[in-house]
Amino acid sequence: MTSVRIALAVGLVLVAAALGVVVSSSPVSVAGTNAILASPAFVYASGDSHRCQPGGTVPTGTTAVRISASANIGPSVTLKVFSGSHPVTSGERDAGWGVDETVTVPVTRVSRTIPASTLCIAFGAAIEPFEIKGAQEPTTTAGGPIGESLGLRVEYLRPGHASWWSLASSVAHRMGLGHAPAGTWIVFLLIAIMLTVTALASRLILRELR
Amino acid sequence: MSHLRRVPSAAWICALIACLNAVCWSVITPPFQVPDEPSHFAYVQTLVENGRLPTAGTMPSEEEQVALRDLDNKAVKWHPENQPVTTQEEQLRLQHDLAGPLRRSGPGEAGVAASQPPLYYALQTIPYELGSSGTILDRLELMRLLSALMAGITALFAYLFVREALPGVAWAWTVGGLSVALAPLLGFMSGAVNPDAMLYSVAAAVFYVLARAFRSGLTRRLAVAIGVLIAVGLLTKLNFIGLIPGVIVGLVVLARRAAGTLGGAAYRSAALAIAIPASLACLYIVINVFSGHPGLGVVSSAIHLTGRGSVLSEISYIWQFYLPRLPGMVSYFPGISTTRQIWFDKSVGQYGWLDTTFPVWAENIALIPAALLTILGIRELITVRATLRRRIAELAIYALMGAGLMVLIGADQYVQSLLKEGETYAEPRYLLPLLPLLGAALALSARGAGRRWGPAVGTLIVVLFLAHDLFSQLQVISRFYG
Repeated sequence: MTSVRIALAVGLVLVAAALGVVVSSSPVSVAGTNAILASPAFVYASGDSHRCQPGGTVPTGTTAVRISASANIGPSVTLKVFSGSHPVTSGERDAGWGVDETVTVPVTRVSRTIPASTLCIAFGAAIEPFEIKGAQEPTTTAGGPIGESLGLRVEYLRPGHASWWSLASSVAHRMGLGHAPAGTWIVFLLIAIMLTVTALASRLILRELR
Repeated sequence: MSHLRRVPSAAWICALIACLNAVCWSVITPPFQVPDEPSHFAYVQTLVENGRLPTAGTMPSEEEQVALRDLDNKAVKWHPENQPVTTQEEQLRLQHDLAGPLRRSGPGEAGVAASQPPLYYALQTIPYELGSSGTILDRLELMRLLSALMAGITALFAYLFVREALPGVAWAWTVGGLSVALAPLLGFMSGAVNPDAMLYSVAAAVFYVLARAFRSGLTRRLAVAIGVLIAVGLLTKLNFIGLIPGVIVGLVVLARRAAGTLGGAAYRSAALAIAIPASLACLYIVINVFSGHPGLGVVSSAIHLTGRGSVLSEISYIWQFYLPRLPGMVSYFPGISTTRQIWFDKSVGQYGWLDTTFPVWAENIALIPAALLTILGIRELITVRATLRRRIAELAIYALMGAGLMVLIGADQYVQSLLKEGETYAEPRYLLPLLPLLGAALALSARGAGRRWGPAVGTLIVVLFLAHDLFSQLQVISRFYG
């Protein structure tokens, strides 16, 4: 019985500590884009393909890159960002992402702002054709424009400055909108319910597990 | 009533916890941000407002169209970067528009939901009618609360199943029951308008009644219960068909066992259990034939479609849908481990319109407790191998029920992939009818830690599920309101 009490206490303290760590962290936010607008235009792509395109300015502190690609079960994505011919950052996302209209690839943190970057994306073998989204961009060579191709929209993400904790009141306000029952009070109701759930489960554990 | 009084209080508490948890999910998840919820709502609305079953078109009523528009449903669905109503102005517009005179009876179309049987939707007409004086959002929430009640039933029967299936160690029942009650995917799906909520309850009840019959023998009362549950399951969601082969073989095994003491009465009980759903199926065929539809309704087209590829290809596809490809098989899932990257990773968390997941590192960390629990479970299975041998037939029945469901889902995906260039919809929620087996597996894992440490490990398993649930809720909150 003592071991159950200790396990329960340790477990709940660890959960509370993890919650504290999470709410002290900052949500990621969009720090920049490659200036290609989000648009419904898309082309189908097959797996095992590779493309490079202008990446615009990569903001300092970028830790993830969100690409406008859509799949039910997406292929693996390998992403490299270059400044000239020098690699700046890279990352990989395993196959299996989706269902989404975007895929986020974590990358090693970018330590300084990189202007006029080049972005190269390689898609692995795919189960199904997937969509890449963006806008038609002129394709140019040294001799001038030769046509158009679809430029992939890319967003650069990094942790914001405000912690979840400092955003709590605005999050609570939004939680009270858009459904019934409405009002910020429902957040307190949710907290009360989950505390009741935790108390009931703990009590049952202490009563039954011996 | 005497049967209800015999249900242990621990089972009721598990039910209450599951119910409260699903209520939380019903409030956290924005309206219509659950797979196919607009279609399921439209089904119920058609039953009430049009007085008939819906057709497969995708045009909802004016009222639902306005709600979906004001909630930015299209812009938010599959776009984790977008959020629903975020300002007071948008809220006022939503309230103003929904308070207007909007037509509730539309063309009577319910999209993907139209092919499903009507029982769940018929029950949902009760909260719909109760909230008829309110807005569509009031009615939707009331309907979600009915689904939340079903989560309680699922957890109740999961506890009772674990008690019957693993009678030796009483404390382990609570580990299984509580873990199921706190499973976030159960809370998410049962906090929404979706027939899956009722399918999970009925499937859990079937598992329990079968386990009871294996433990105490097939009585006429249990046979009738199994028959009625099969009928209810068939009227709830077509996926229930996947469980039926296992249940029927189970009835045959039970009848053979009981024949030693009851003689022919045992076989008559089994026949009765099969006759109840069979008569329902006959009635369905007769109605379809007389109304000019294919005899087996939507099942007819599924049977027709499933014959499109070769049988060997279909078997190979279904195998690879869940398990690593064997030598000689054509690869249907290049570049992906379906076991890991579809079934495991997505089980860690996939909410909203399947667009809300944990970061990749969380899916990787989840492998650690999963591996530890598997090792403990195997250890316990080795310890109780003599008992396993004695109960091999019963275990085979549960395995057959699970395999039947998985084959049904895999076959459906195979057809979809043929029709839509490999398009695949793999969602762990399809496997939640097997939740009672998860409860039993977790109870075994706790027992695997031994007599001294088992209860402490069981406690940690429950706390792990509680943490998983809490962080899943936070993930959804950050996605929709952050």
